[in-house]
Amino acid sequence: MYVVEPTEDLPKVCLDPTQGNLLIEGTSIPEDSEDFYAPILDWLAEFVASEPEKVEFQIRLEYFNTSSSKYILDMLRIIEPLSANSKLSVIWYYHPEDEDMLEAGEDYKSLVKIPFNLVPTTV
Amino acid sequence: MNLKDFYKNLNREEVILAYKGRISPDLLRMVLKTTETSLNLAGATVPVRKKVYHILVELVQNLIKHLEPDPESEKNMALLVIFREYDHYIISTGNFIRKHKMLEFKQRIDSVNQMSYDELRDFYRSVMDGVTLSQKGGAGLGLIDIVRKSGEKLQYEIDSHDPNHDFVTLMIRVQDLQTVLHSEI
Repeated sequence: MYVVEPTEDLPKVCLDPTQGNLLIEGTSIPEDSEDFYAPILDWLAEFVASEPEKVEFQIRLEYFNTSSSKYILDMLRIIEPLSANSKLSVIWYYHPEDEDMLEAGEDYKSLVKIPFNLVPTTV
Repeated sequence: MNLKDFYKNLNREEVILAYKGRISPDLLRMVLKTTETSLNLAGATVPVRKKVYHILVELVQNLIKHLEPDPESEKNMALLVIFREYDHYIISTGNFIRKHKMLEFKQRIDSVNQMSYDELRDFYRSVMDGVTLSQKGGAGLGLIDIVRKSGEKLQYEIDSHDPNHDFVTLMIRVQDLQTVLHSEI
Protein backbone atom coordinates (compact mmCIF):
# COMPACT_ATOMS: atom_id res chain seq x y z
CA MET A 1 0.00 0.00 0.00
CA TYR A 2 1.32 3.44 -0.93
CA VAL A 3 -0.11 6.35 1.03
CA VAL A 4 0.89 9.99 0.99
CA GLU A 5 -0.94 12.56 3.08
CA PRO A 6 -1.82 15.85 1.35
CA THR A 7 0.04 19.12 1.92
CA GLU A 8 -0.58 22.64 0.61
CA ASP A 9 1.20 21.84 -2.63
CA LEU A 10 0.84 18.09 -2.92
CA PRO A 11 -2.12 15.76 -3.29
CA LYS A 12 -3.29 12.85 -1.20
CA VAL A 13 -2.27 9.61 -2.86
CA CYS A 14 -3.60 6.22 -1.87
CA LEU A 15 -2.65 3.17 -3.90
CA ASP A 16 -4.17 -0.09 -2.67
CA PRO A 17 -2.91 -3.17 -4.50
CA THR A 18 -5.28 -5.59 -2.74
CA GLN A 19 -8.49 -4.03 -4.12
CA GLY A 20 -6.88 -2.38 -7.12
CA ASN A 21 -8.05 1.05 -5.92
CA LEU A 22 -5.89 3.99 -6.88
CA LEU A 23 -6.67 7.51 -5.69
CA ILE A 24 -5.14 10.92 -6.19
CA GLU A 25 -6.95 13.82 -4.57
CA GLY A 26 -6.49 17.52 -3.77
CA THR A 27 -3.94 19.98 -5.07
CA SER A 28 -0.84 19.21 -7.10
CA ILE A 29 1.31 22.25 -7.64
CA PRO A 30 4.83 21.12 -6.74
CA GLU A 31 7.67 23.12 -8.16
CA ASP A 32 9.57 19.93 -8.87
CA SER A 33 7.13 17.20 -9.78
CA GLU A 34 9.84 14.60 -10.42
CA ASP A 35 10.62 14.15 -6.71
CA PHE A 36 6.98 13.51 -5.88
CA TYR A 37 5.83 11.49 -8.84
CA ALA A 38 8.85 9.29 -9.64
CA PRO A 39 8.25 6.91 -6.70
CA ILE A 40 4.56 6.72 -7.61
CA LEU A 41 5.40 5.78 -11.19
CA ASP A 42 7.82 3.13 -9.90
CA TRP A 43 5.12 1.69 -7.63
CA LEU A 44 2.62 1.61 -10.48
CA ALA A 45 5.07 -0.18 -12.77
CA GLU A 46 5.55 -2.91 -10.20
CA PHE A 47 1.82 -3.10 -9.59
CA VAL A 48 1.09 -3.55 -13.30
CA ALA A 49 3.71 -6.30 -13.47
CA SER A 50 1.76 -8.19 -10.79
CA GLU A 51 -1.13 -8.47 -13.28
CA PRO A 52 -4.00 -7.27 -11.11
CA GLU A 53 -7.48 -8.38 -12.09
CA LYS A 54 -9.24 -5.13 -11.36
CA VAL A 55 -8.04 -1.53 -11.22
CA GLU A 56 -10.08 1.58 -10.58
CA PHE A 57 -8.22 4.90 -10.68
CA GLN A 58 -10.04 7.83 -9.09
CA ILE A 59 -8.72 11.31 -9.84
CA ARG A 60 -10.21 14.13 -7.72
CA LEU A 61 -7.99 17.15 -8.25
CA GLU A 62 -8.82 20.75 -7.35
CA TYR A 63 -5.77 22.22 -9.05
CA PHE A 64 -2.77 20.83 -10.78
CA ASN A 65 0.05 22.69 -12.51
CA THR A 66 1.39 21.86 -15.95
CA SER A 67 4.44 20.32 -14.34
CA SER A 68 2.18 17.70 -12.71
CA SER A 69 0.07 17.23 -15.81
CA LYS A 70 2.76 15.29 -17.66
CA TYR A 71 3.14 12.94 -14.71
CA ILE A 72 -0.59 12.36 -14.53
CA LEU A 73 -0.41 11.28 -18.15
CA ASP A 74 2.55 9.04 -17.30
CA MET A 75 0.51 7.34 -14.57
CA LEU A 76 -2.27 6.66 -17.04
CA ARG A 77 0.16 5.36 -19.64
CA ILE A 78 1.69 2.90 -17.17
CA ILE A 79 -1.67 1.31 -16.32
CA GLU A 80 -2.99 1.53 -19.89
CA PRO A 81 -1.74 -1.94 -20.96
CA LEU A 82 -3.96 -3.48 -18.27
CA SER A 83 -7.05 -2.64 -20.32
CA ALA A 84 -6.28 -5.67 -22.45
CA ASN A 85 -6.77 -8.31 -19.76
CA SER A 86 -7.98 -6.60 -16.58
CA LYS A 87 -11.07 -4.69 -15.52
CA LEU A 88 -9.64 -1.18 -15.74
CA SER A 89 -11.37 2.17 -15.40
CA VAL A 90 -10.55 5.78 -14.64
CA ILE A 91 -12.97 8.12 -12.87
CA TRP A 92 -12.19 11.80 -13.36
CA TYR A 93 -14.13 14.00 -10.95
CA TYR A 94 -14.75 17.70 -11.56
CA HIS A 95 -16.86 20.48 -10.06
CA PRO A 96 -19.85 21.07 -12.40
CA GLU A 97 -18.96 24.77 -12.74
CA ASP A 98 -15.31 24.03 -13.48
CA GLU A 99 -15.08 23.86 -17.26
CA ASP A 100 -11.30 23.83 -17.15
CA MET A 101 -11.19 20.66 -15.07
CA LEU A 102 -13.73 19.01 -17.39
CA GLU A 103 -11.57 20.03 -20.35
CA ALA A 104 -8.50 18.59 -18.66
CA GLY A 105 -10.35 15.29 -18.20
CA GLU A 106 -11.29 15.33 -21.87
CA ASP A 107 -7.64 15.93 -22.77
CA TYR A 108 -6.54 12.80 -20.92
CA LYS A 109 -9.48 10.78 -22.19
CA SER A 110 -8.47 11.61 -25.75
CA LEU A 111 -4.88 10.50 -25.20
CA VAL A 112 -5.34 7.12 -23.53
CA LYS A 113 -7.24 3.97 -24.45
CA ILE A 114 -8.81 3.32 -21.06
CA PRO A 115 -12.52 3.36 -20.10
CA PHE A 116 -12.63 6.94 -18.82
CA ASN A 117 -15.58 8.39 -16.89
CA LEU A 118 -15.98 12.14 -16.42
CA VAL A 119 -18.10 12.64 -13.31
CA PRO A 120 -19.36 16.02 -12.04
CA THR A 121 -19.46 16.28 -8.25
CA THR A 122 -20.00 19.00 -5.71
CA VAL A 123 -18.32 17.02 -2.94
CA MET B 1 -20.73 63.11 -5.49
CA ASN B 2 -23.24 61.07 -3.51
CA LEU B 3 -22.52 57.76 -1.81
CA LYS B 4 -24.14 55.70 -4.57
CA ASP B 5 -21.80 57.20 -7.22
CA PHE B 6 -18.84 56.79 -4.90
CA TYR B 7 -19.70 53.13 -4.41
CA LYS B 8 -20.11 52.64 -8.16
CA ASN B 9 -16.63 54.06 -8.75
CA LEU B 10 -15.13 51.72 -6.18
CA ASN B 11 -16.65 48.81 -8.04
CA ARG B 12 -14.83 49.74 -11.23
CA GLU B 13 -11.37 48.75 -10.07
CA GLU B 14 -9.87 46.78 -7.26
CA VAL B 15 -6.32 45.67 -6.58
CA ILE B 16 -6.29 42.02 -5.60
CA LEU B 17 -2.52 41.67 -5.29
CA ALA B 18 0.55 43.82 -5.80
CA TYR B 19 4.07 42.56 -5.21
CA LYS B 20 7.56 43.65 -6.13
CA GLY B 21 10.55 41.63 -5.02
CA ARG B 22 12.27 38.28 -5.12
CA ILE B 23 10.30 35.31 -6.39
CA SER B 24 10.58 32.05 -4.47
CA PRO B 25 8.46 28.97 -3.64
CA ASP B 26 7.73 30.41 -0.16
CA LEU B 27 6.55 33.61 -1.70
CA LEU B 28 4.30 31.72 -4.08
CA ARG B 29 2.54 30.05 -1.19
CA MET B 30 1.96 33.39 0.51
CA VAL B 31 0.82 35.02 -2.70
CA LEU B 32 -1.63 32.22 -3.48
CA LYS B 33 -3.18 32.44 0.00
CA THR B 34 -3.58 36.21 -0.28
CA THR B 35 -5.04 35.92 -3.75
CA GLU B 36 -7.52 33.25 -2.73
CA THR B 37 -8.85 35.42 0.13
CA SER B 38 -8.92 38.58 -1.94
CA LEU B 39 -10.72 36.91 -4.82
CA ASN B 40 -13.32 35.58 -2.40
CA LEU B 41 -13.86 39.06 -1.05
CA ALA B 42 -14.06 40.55 -4.52
CA GLY B 43 -16.92 38.17 -5.23
CA ALA B 44 -15.27 36.15 -7.97
CA THR B 45 -17.15 33.03 -8.99
CA VAL B 46 -15.57 29.61 -8.40
CA PRO B 47 -14.51 29.00 -12.02
CA VAL B 48 -12.92 32.46 -12.29
CA ARG B 49 -11.14 32.10 -8.98
CA LYS B 50 -9.72 28.81 -10.16
CA LYS B 51 -8.61 30.27 -13.50
CA VAL B 52 -6.86 33.23 -11.88
CA TYR B 53 -5.25 30.96 -9.30
CA HIS B 54 -4.09 28.49 -11.90
CA ILE B 55 -2.66 31.17 -14.19
CA LEU B 56 -0.86 32.71 -11.22
CA VAL B 57 0.73 29.37 -10.29
CA GLU B 58 1.98 28.83 -13.83
CA LEU B 59 3.37 32.35 -14.15
CA VAL B 60 5.17 32.38 -10.82
CA GLN B 61 6.60 28.87 -11.19
CA ASN B 62 7.82 29.86 -14.63
CA LEU B 63 9.50 32.91 -13.10
CA ILE B 64 11.10 30.77 -10.38
CA LYS B 65 12.55 28.55 -13.08
CA HIS B 66 13.85 31.29 -15.37
CA LEU B 67 14.90 34.22 -13.25
CA GLU B 68 18.56 34.93 -12.59
CA PRO B 69 19.68 32.36 -10.00
CA ASP B 70 21.74 34.84 -7.97
CA PRO B 71 19.41 36.19 -5.26
CA GLU B 72 21.68 39.23 -4.79
CA SER B 73 21.23 40.26 -8.39
CA GLU B 74 18.65 42.97 -9.08
CA LYS B 75 17.64 40.91 -12.10
CA ASN B 76 16.31 38.31 -9.69
CA MET B 77 13.31 40.44 -8.80
CA ALA B 78 9.93 40.55 -10.45
CA LEU B 79 6.61 42.39 -10.32
CA LEU B 80 3.30 40.68 -9.79
CA VAL B 81 -0.05 42.46 -9.97
CA ILE B 82 -3.63 41.26 -10.10
CA PHE B 83 -6.47 43.70 -10.34
CA ARG B 84 -10.13 43.66 -11.19
CA GLU B 85 -11.49 46.09 -13.75
CA TYR B 86 -15.27 45.94 -14.11
CA ASP B 87 -16.01 42.51 -15.51
CA HIS B 88 -12.54 41.08 -15.82
CA TYR B 89 -9.40 40.36 -13.88
CA ILE B 90 -5.96 41.26 -15.15
CA ILE B 91 -2.93 39.26 -14.05
CA SER B 92 0.30 40.97 -14.87
CA THR B 93 3.94 40.09 -14.34
CA GLY B 94 7.10 42.05 -15.01
CA ASN B 95 10.61 40.62 -15.03
CA PHE B 96 14.04 40.89 -16.56
CA ILE B 97 15.00 38.48 -19.28
CA ARG B 98 18.20 37.99 -21.24
CA LYS B 99 17.85 39.40 -24.74
CA HIS B 100 18.74 36.14 -26.44
CA LYS B 101 15.95 34.34 -24.55
CA MET B 102 13.45 37.09 -25.28
CA LEU B 103 13.40 36.44 -29.02
CA GLU B 104 12.47 32.80 -28.55
CA PHE B 105 9.90 33.69 -25.91
CA LYS B 106 8.29 36.28 -28.19
CA GLN B 107 8.07 33.76 -31.01
CA ARG B 108 6.31 31.26 -28.76
CA ILE B 109 3.82 33.84 -27.49
CA ASP B 110 3.06 35.09 -31.02
CA SER B 111 2.57 31.56 -32.26
CA VAL B 112 0.19 30.62 -29.43
CA ASN B 113 -1.71 33.91 -29.74
CA GLN B 114 -2.60 33.09 -33.32
CA MET B 115 -4.23 29.78 -32.50
CA SER B 116 -7.95 29.13 -32.35
CA TYR B 117 -9.55 27.40 -29.37
CA ASP B 118 -9.40 24.03 -31.12
CA GLU B 119 -5.83 24.55 -32.31
CA LEU B 120 -4.73 25.43 -28.77
CA ARG B 121 -6.41 22.31 -27.40
CA ASP B 122 -4.79 20.07 -30.01
CA PHE B 123 -1.41 21.72 -29.57
CA TYR B 124 -1.60 21.33 -25.78
CA ARG B 125 -2.45 17.65 -26.16
CA SER B 126 0.36 17.02 -28.61
CA VAL B 127 2.95 18.76 -26.42
CA MET B 128 1.77 16.90 -23.32
CA ASP B 129 1.95 13.64 -25.19
CA GLY B 130 5.54 14.39 -26.12
CA VAL B 131 4.73 14.28 -29.80
CA THR B 132 5.72 17.90 -30.23
CA LEU B 133 9.03 18.77 -28.61
CA SER B 134 8.41 21.25 -25.84
CA GLN B 135 10.76 23.51 -23.96
CA LYS B 136 12.45 21.98 -20.94
CA GLY B 137 10.60 21.39 -17.73
CA GLY B 138 7.11 21.75 -19.17
CA ALA B 139 7.58 25.50 -19.67
CA GLY B 140 6.11 25.16 -23.15
CA LEU B 141 2.93 23.62 -21.74
CA GLY B 142 2.53 26.44 -19.23
CA LEU B 143 2.25 29.14 -21.86
CA ILE B 144 -0.31 27.20 -23.91
CA ASP B 145 -2.25 26.44 -20.75
CA ILE B 146 -2.37 30.11 -19.71
CA VAL B 147 -3.73 31.26 -23.07
CA ARG B 148 -6.21 28.39 -23.14
CA LYS B 149 -7.56 29.20 -19.68
CA SER B 150 -7.70 32.92 -20.28
CA GLY B 151 -9.49 32.55 -23.61
CA GLU B 152 -7.81 35.75 -24.81
CA LYS B 153 -4.50 36.70 -26.39
CA LEU B 154 -1.59 37.11 -24.04
CA GLN B 155 -0.52 40.76 -24.21
CA TYR B 156 3.08 41.68 -23.71
CA GLU B 157 5.47 44.62 -23.81
CA ILE B 158 9.23 44.49 -24.18
CA ASP B 159 11.47 47.32 -22.99
CA SER B 160 15.22 47.29 -23.41
CA HIS B 161 16.97 47.60 -20.04
CA ASP B 162 20.69 47.22 -20.70
CA PRO B 163 22.87 45.66 -23.43
CA ASN B 164 22.08 42.15 -22.17
CA HIS B 165 18.61 42.41 -20.68
CA ASP B 166 15.08 43.33 -21.61
CA PHE B 167 12.24 43.92 -19.20
CA VAL B 168 9.12 42.06 -20.23
CA THR B 169 5.58 42.71 -19.01
CA LEU B 170 2.88 40.12 -19.52
CA MET B 171 -0.84 40.84 -19.17
CA ILE B 172 -3.47 38.13 -19.04
CA ARG B 173 -7.19 38.83 -18.88
CA VAL B 174 -9.80 36.59 -17.29
CA GLN B 175 -13.39 37.57 -17.74
CA ASP B 176 -15.92 37.20 -14.93
CA LEU B 177 -19.39 37.69 -16.31
CA GLN B 178 -20.94 37.54 -12.83
CA THR B 179 -19.04 40.64 -11.73
CA VAL B 180 -20.98 42.76 -14.21
CA LEU B 181 -24.00 42.30 -11.93
CA HIS B 182 -22.12 43.67 -8.90
CA SER B 183 -21.03 46.82 -10.68
CA GLU B 184 -24.61 47.65 -11.60
CA ILE B 185 -25.67 48.12 -7.98
